[in-house]
Amino acid sequence: MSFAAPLGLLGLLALPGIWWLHRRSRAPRAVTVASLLFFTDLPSGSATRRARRFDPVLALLLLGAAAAAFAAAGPQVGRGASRRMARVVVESGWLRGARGYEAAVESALAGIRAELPGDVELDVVTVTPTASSPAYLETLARLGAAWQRYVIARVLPAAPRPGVRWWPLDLEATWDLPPGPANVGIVAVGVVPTDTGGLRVQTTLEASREGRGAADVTVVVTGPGSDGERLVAGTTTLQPGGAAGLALELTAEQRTAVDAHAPGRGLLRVALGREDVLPADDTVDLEAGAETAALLLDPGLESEVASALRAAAEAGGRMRLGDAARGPWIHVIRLGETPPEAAGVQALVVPAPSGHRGVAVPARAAPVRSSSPLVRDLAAEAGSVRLSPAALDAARGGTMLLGWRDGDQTWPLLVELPGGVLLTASLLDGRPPLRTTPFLPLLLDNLVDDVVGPDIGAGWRAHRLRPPSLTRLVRTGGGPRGVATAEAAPASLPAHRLRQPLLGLAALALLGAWLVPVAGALTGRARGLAAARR
Amino acid sequence: MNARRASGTRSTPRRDVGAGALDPELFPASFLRLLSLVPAAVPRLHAGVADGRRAVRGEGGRFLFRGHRAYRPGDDLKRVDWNVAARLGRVVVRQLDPERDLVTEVWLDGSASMGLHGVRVASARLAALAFAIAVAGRGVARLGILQGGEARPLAEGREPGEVRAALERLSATPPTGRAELAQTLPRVVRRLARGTRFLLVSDLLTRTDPGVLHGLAGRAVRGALVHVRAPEVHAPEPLGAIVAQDAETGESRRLLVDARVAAEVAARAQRHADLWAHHARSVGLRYLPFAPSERSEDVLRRLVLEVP
Repeated sequence: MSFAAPLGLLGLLALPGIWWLHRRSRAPRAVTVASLLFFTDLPSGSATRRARRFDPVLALLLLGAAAAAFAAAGPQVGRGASRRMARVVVESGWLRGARGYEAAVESALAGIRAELPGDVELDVVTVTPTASSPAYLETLARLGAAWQRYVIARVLPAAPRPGVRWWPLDLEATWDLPPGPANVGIVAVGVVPTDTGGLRVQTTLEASREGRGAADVTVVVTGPGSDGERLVAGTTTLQPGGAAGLALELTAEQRTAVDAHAPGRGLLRVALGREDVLPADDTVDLEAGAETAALLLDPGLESEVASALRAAAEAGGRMRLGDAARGPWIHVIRLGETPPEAAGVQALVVPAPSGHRGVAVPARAAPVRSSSPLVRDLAAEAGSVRLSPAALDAARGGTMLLGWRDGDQTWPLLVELPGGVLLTASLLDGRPPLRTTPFLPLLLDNLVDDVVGPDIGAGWRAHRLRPPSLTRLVRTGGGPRGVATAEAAPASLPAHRLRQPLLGLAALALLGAWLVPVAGALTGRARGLAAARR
Repeated sequence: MNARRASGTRSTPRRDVGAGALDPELFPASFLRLLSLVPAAVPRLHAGVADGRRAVRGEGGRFLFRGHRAYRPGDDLKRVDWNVAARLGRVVVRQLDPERDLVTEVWLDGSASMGLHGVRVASARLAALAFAIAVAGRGVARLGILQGGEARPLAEGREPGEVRAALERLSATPPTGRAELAQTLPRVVRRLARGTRFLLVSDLLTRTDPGVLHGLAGRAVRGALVHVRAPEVHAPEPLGAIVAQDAETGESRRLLVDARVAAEVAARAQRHADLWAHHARSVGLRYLPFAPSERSEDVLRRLVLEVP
């Protein structure tokens, strides 16, 4: 047995007080009786120690107080409680793409293991969003029962709160740095039509502070396809911590060729011709003509949810019912359903099933365009939001934590189902359910924004454009646009929580303590009346 | 709460009730209305009893002849007018008016224990009703109290209008001290005339041997031993640890009244009551237990129908 809040056991200190107060209230009282005639040779109060040994009222009071104290301590029994487990939350996301990331995590985990006793298991929770705030990481670490709690993160908080230990994710220790800045990334892209009918692709580059000396960085624009034709290239010089802009112009002929390859949706790729510690921010895909997305609804979706989504899509105007033949598209499936082929999926909204235990959603956490609480289920890689099969497996057989941020607050959505499986609840649930609020069209529009990418001008949109904070390899504050998820394999079966049964026992005991004297008085009165009439 | 109840919250507080005043707690207006109905109620209550089912010692005196009526089963054969039967061939009985000098003596235990648990109110009303019933039957009613080793007459009456005097005396005589039944009862018994209807109203919380009732044997006395039994005495609740003070003697004892002790006390009280009932029956008295909570209307009905 273990206790979620051992301080609750301090309530047991009240038991002697209850015993003393009860005994004091039962001190002999002066009572005038009609006659002592029938009390001859009966035990006197001073000789009643043995008779007072069992007092049902006192016993029930002590039982109730003890049960309440144990309930306050949150006892748990079962396999989960019998094994000591340390939860380790590891910051991941796009950092996973950094060279040396795995080695840095392993190094940190080895350090933690060396610090802990040998029988303690590590429950490693990997947080997929990039640049999660320290508060969010700490919240994840505090979820559920654990013997110790750790966070392995890139940047540690200035004033960590007690209860969670922070461990640095020391990427630099594993880097084999090239000359120049450790990392250079594309942080902004713009497209402007030229007077000659061509296109000007404006690229902004930033460099991380790590590294020594300047480096020449080449930016290449290629055409559609994996082996796209190299259209134009340029070079600029960057110092560690510096930034630079580069404008590359495509001729009218080159632009025409791009449009001919993909009519209605021209495709270009902007890439850096330099290898560094973080490849994820070295490539950006540009797409023209992608303003709307197709909404695909699973046929088995709850009709109320499907109707709400359909109405919201029509209201928003940027999403309409369609098919997967044209992209981008957003597929909504039921919770627990096997998703379509992951490669073709760009976004999945997973509504909670009807009757699902909801999660209270504060009104101020309702989505707005500036802080989109998009429902992203797990892997946010390669610029698309998709539910990876591994993540779905984790949801079926282990633990999946889903949450979003509202300002500095992190709201984890955690729903426990029978059988020890934890599944996510979507933002379509909650109180009030999001699907019944005017915010659902905004949510869908934000989803469209996410899948079609940000507008970079001239009808072009960018994909896989990383935030500058990633390129700099440090956090600058703010999280990843409101949503974060984490997954973890269960360390053991969920423990059986005894709080509710104990609270019930306490209530019954107190009720019994009240009923015993009442019942005694009633039976005594009835007996007296009957005796008087005999 | 138990303690408060046990310590006599239902007992009548002592108050100065001057001569000529009625204690409104003992005799409220509703009870006085009931008393005023007694003369009319007594015949009605008798009428409700089937003929021949109620044992009476005679329906009237020997000399106040009123007329004849047809014989009914249960009629005393001594009252059959055989001359009429021989002459007319019909069996009739003589009807005589009741003698006016039938004496009813009501003696009330005036000890301090009667002042607890509502017993005083119940016993005073019971005595008043018995007095009123006796007067309504055109007899002589006497009311007395056994208190402090003395048997003091309180009131005597022949007419319904004299009941009020009895109520006033009852109002002015609160329970106090001890009754000393061992001394007072023999004195009362010695003064009883033959054939007197005798009622002793008491809680019987006394160490006096019930054999004291045997002085009534052979005196053709009828009546009842009216036992007022408070539940607090005869079936006490488990009060826990108490310091009990005897209302009559002032003696204090430290007691633990748990469920077991309460049951033992109840059993002892029952045995005590059974003993007094046995001795009462052996001298021709009815044993009538009453609870203080019984309604006055029920008490009236029981007194009329059950007291011989």
